[in-house]
Amino acid sequence: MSGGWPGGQACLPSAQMALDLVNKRTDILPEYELELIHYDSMCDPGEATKLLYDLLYTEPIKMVLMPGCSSVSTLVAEAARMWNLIVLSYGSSSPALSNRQRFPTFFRTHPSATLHNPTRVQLFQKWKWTKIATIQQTTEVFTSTLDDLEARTKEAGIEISVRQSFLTDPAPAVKNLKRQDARIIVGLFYETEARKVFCEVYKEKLYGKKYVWFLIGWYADNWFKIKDPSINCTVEQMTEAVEGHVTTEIVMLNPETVRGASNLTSQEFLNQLMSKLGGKNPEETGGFQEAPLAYDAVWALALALNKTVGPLKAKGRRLEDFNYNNRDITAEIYRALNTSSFEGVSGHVVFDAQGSRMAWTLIEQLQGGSYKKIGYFDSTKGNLSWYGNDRWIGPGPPADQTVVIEEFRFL
Amino acid sequence: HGQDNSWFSGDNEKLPIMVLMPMNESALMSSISQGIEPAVQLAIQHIKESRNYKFSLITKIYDTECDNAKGLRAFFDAICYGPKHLMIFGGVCPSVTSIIAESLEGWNLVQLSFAATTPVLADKKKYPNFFRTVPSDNAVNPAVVKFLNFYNWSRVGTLTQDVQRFSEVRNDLTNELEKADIQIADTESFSNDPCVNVKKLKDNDVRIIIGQFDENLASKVFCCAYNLNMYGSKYQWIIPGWYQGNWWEQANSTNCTTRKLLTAMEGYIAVDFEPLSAKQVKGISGRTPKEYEREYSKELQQKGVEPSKYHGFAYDGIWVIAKTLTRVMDLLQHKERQDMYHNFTVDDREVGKLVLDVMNETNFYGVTGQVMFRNGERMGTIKFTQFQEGQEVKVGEYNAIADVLDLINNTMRFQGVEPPKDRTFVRLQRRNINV
Repeated sequence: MSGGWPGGQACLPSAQMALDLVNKRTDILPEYELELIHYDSMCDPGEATKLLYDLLYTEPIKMVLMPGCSSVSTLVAEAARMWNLIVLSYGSSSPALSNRQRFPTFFRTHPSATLHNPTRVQLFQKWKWTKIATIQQTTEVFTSTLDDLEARTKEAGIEISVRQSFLTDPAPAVKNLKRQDARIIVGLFYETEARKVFCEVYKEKLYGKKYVWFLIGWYADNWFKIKDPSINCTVEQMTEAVEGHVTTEIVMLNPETVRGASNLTSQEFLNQLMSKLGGKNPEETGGFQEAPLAYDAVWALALALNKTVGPLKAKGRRLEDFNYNNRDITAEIYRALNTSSFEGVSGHVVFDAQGSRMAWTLIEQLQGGSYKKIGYFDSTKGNLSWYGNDRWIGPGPPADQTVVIEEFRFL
Repeated sequence: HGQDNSWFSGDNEKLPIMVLMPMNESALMSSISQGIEPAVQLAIQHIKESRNYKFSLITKIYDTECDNAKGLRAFFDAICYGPKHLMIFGGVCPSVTSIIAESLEGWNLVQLSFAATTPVLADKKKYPNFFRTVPSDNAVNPAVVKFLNFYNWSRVGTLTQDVQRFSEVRNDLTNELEKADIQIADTESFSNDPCVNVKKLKDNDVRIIIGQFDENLASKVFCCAYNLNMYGSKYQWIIPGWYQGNWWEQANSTNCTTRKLLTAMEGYIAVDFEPLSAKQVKGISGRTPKEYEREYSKELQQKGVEPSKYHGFAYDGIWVIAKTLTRVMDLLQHKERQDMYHNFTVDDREVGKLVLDVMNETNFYGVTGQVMFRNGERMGTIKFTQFQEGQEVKVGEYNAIADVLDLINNTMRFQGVEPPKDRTFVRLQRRNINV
């Protein structure tokens, strides 16, 4: 509900919507009622550890754990095997979570963050840049995204010439970027750190016509205007520093009008969610974009559990026989989830270990203090739809390095 | 659990301490724990013999197997089924330690580690209840700055392996260097192949290079340095000092011969924490570090286990716990007496807070030197060694509390007539040319 990604604000009502619908349906789990026991993790793995303890060491027994944030999901999904629990996340984008060895019972309706990288490479090529710098917060989600980006840029003949990382204080890392003459910079960090980074960017003058920043597109639209006691830059200074940056984000709402498993089109889903939010501004509600994924996660789970009832009965067992020490019911649910395939409000839902489910990414640019859509990219087909409304201070995008021109002069 | 805090009022209580470390021999880093147990038992025995403590500590070991999932389960089970633990001792593997340390506030538990050196754990916002008797990897930085000052080196370059453990140290070093007005001419980082970056350092005329990388990459770095002629009287390398003995033989994954590597490595300075104090003063246990070490070695022999580099920090750690709990007990008893007419109760939260505050004020002489914390971090002793003809020779020591560097007379050697210069000096000279 708060913290780095306050996704619960919209995802909880969304999951609740799905749950209410599933429980009303007579054709899905007619003998069972799904119940949601939820806590606020604050996107904080320390807090989540305590909550995980409460969930696991108090009655009733839970069948599935559904964490949100990557840092929390990583913790929960890694530990879950000790209690034979399936973990299904709606909000984790960390590419590291695609490791089946480390997270043997993990599923997610959220695509992996590596989906941004083909888009970034496409834009580097479009703007003829071959030298890139990166700055990341050292959290696994960003580190593994960067590893993937490094592999993809290498393939495309693009060099990552400067890599900087920080844990809490980005000041030395930003100074290093300036010192190394970085021009095209990919920044990977959460929104709270983004404010710290751009306050430093302002102080170091690492913005303006010579610099292009690439950021993640899932921050709140007004993220750089939010009052933050941990920075000492004014809103005007922040606005100046972030002008012109480019963001990429994954499209999470089915753009087509189809009635999926829940008999809801994505537009109807949005309308219902808005009324459930009771007049709260969607742009200021954390996780609004990801809400379809939470909705579809509950559906995926309900359909999977429904599918296990029959096979379990054949073995003389029931869902309520589940406990943390036996594996056979877990294996049955795993099998059912693994073979999920249905039309959700976020598009077609199938699970694979790689996590790239949706093909489209949306590219935006901050122009005059607000975000403008400048294009879409479909990485499976390599298809870039460009609006041609990107704006630059000079005649076009800047160069990726200082160009040294040697000239003879006569004295 | 909850309100059961009567432990502080009784005498001869047995106070349970939860010990978290990898024990299973197949687990990573379990070799560290094997040699810890004798040091811990020795400390408990010495505490009992001192007769200054009203209680005896009992340690209950929970095996984390250096695995995040198993470690978390061991911790949860200890909380649910174990006795009411007053404190956690241990935390060896960085990832298991950070997961548990980050969650401690929820249980009002304080943790003291003797072996987790990862800088991440110094973040007090994230790990407010975490202490360690071992200095963190960042503790070398003030020492390095002092060392640079001693030789008047005011222009350096850094070369860092891009993983958290090293980049954190580099970031902290950047701050320290800036504070000390030392110019960072170049900051290079690499993930796998350092040669391009070593070349860039050379092109930038960097002479004093501060490296942060592991053993495997160290051999690659020195191989590149050899091929680029970045060694000898003009260069000074400063690298981590915790590599295994003869690491260049075991970790050499390059096509440089050992002879070439040794040539490039000659004279490097390695920096690491000092495992036992060199000063022979009688500490809190009434023993000098040497006397303690003798007893420890005897215990090792009897039990037939290998020594651990961290045993002194574990020994001192048990003393920290004993001193802390005694003081907390006194404070609580005092409060109880004052509150006699009211119904005196104290909840876990208050006790946890008290333990935290008291631990913060720790100050005594242990076998690893003066034991003091600053924001939960150990102010310790840092050791400098120099690589001389195939061997690491101790050349100096840095004490963090006094902020003093002691170089041992006549041990440092340079291949030229004097220490390397930190840059090329350009001397302008007028020359007359006949036209």
